[in-house]
Amino acid sequence: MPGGLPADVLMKIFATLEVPDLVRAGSVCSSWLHAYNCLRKFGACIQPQTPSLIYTSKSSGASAAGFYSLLENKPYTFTLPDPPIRSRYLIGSAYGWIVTADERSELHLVNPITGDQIALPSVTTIEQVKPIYDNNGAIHMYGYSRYTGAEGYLDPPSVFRLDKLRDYIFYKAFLSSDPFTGNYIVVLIHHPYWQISFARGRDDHWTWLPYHACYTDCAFKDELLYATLVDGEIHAYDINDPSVKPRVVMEGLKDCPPLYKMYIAQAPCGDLLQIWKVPEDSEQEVEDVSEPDLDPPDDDEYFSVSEDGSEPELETVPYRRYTTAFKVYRVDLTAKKLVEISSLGDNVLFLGLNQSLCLCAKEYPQLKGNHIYFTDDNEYMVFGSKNKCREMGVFNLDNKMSEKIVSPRIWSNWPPPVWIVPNPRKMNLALLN
Amino acid sequence: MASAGSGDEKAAAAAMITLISSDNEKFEVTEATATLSQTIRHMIEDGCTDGGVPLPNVTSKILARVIEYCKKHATAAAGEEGSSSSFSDAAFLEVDRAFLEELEEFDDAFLEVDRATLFDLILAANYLDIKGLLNLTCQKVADSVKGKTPEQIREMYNIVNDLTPEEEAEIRRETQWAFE
Repeated sequence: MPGGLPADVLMKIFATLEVPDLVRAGSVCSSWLHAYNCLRKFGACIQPQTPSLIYTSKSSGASAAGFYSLLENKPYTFTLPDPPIRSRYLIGSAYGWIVTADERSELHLVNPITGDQIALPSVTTIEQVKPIYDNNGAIHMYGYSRYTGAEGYLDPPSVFRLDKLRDYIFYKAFLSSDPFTGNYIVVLIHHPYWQISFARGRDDHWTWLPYHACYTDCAFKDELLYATLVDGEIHAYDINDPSVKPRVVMEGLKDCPPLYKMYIAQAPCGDLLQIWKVPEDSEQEVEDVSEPDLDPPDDDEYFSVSEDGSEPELETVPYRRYTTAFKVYRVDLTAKKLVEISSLGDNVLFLGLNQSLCLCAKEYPQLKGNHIYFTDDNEYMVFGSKNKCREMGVFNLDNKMSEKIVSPRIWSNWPPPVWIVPNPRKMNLALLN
Repeated sequence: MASAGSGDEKAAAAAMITLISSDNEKFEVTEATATLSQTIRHMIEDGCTDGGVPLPNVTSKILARVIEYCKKHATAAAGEEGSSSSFSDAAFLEVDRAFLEELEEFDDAFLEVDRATLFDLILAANYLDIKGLLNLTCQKVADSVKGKTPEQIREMYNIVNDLTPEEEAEIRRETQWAFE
């Protein structure tokens, strides 16, 4: 028996490994390779993986993604399928898959670990988008109407180049479960006005939920989609019956500060959490966005230029730290009220462009309990100003201070870095298509 | 009732099973020790243990170690059961912790073996279906490969790289990133 151990035992051993170790173990010999392939094809209970950062950098090339393991505190680089990742926008990350928008504003799911890629329904099937054809019958522009269920057509549609629509339409994407299962739903918060559309795994079109707007984040719990609005209101949708209007499970705040950002996530115990990201100085933020020529900050903690100096644009781009605090609330669905919690205990949050994630740090030796790991997802900055330095850090709920994650900075500002939970399950895409 | 119950347990604990290694060495063990192995438990239930249980896949050297593990864990399990009724909650927790600590120390010491023995223990635990021992030994291997290159793993466990050039090329293409 080469390798000494039978496949079922090897699979048991491999199932306790995290991705970098798992991949290396898979290339020791043929029996270890066989066990590795079985494990990732059958998706047997693989060890929960420590979140990592996925990012790109100019020096690694257009198709390469960086992967910074919080487990090993070590960067890796891998090559992603075409189109080149640096030509795409990143609008979400869940279950180990990132959601990207390419230069035709079309969406894909990509698993960076396996290289699997799934095309999502065409952007032209989104309610507010119509294809415009050229003389040869090819799509060369998109018509985009500012249409909401509540107010109808607000003004004549805009016409966008294929690569421009994505600047205006996408906000954030979510997954109900691992696409590996084949049975999953993709939910999009998109413009105009942060509305929701969704598509099931095998759908060829997006289904629009025309009831409300101004959503900022979504979470799945007990077969329901919970979507939080900009003012903290929370709606519950039964996606199995999209004709049913959402239930308001939590009223919005009357005096919600406009620049607070709302997230929603499910804690390991099952409770829903609402998290508010509080900018340090709201007025300052407006100023920063409108006047991009402020002095660079003294504190360059997050501002160090990559070692090879390959990001010269940084030197001319001012940067100011925005995020300074988070508030965490438990959503009491019975009493319909928010209960502020001062400590997450052993739990840890991952917030940003990723699907908001709450994990128990006890299961992840490298994570710090009662901390919030965050990446930049300020919409104005992420999509409006590609060159701005991406804020990123770990917020300690004990002392309300942020710490840096990686130094020196190794990522480009665009596409923005995002958290990902590595997923080694390899799909049989031939079967799927 | 209570005394009759404990009498039965004593009788069960006193029942002895003979295990026979591949090199024909005989080991007398209590049923409580032997039934940590699901494989042997099933044989006892089916009444096929008379005249001893031949274990053609397990050498006497490894069987002795496996029995050492089962004895310790069977005793620990029995001790835990006994303690639950005769101590207050706080005292019970204290005893419980002491048991667990002792068991952990035992397990750590138990795993201080060479690589070949570790693999043999895994094979035996797998064959005899001893969940605790299998978990323990598998975790040991998992921990030992963490942060290692394939070459280091091969060296550590004396594994010959029998991958074809095609397989190697495919792995490199797909997972080059993990080797940097």
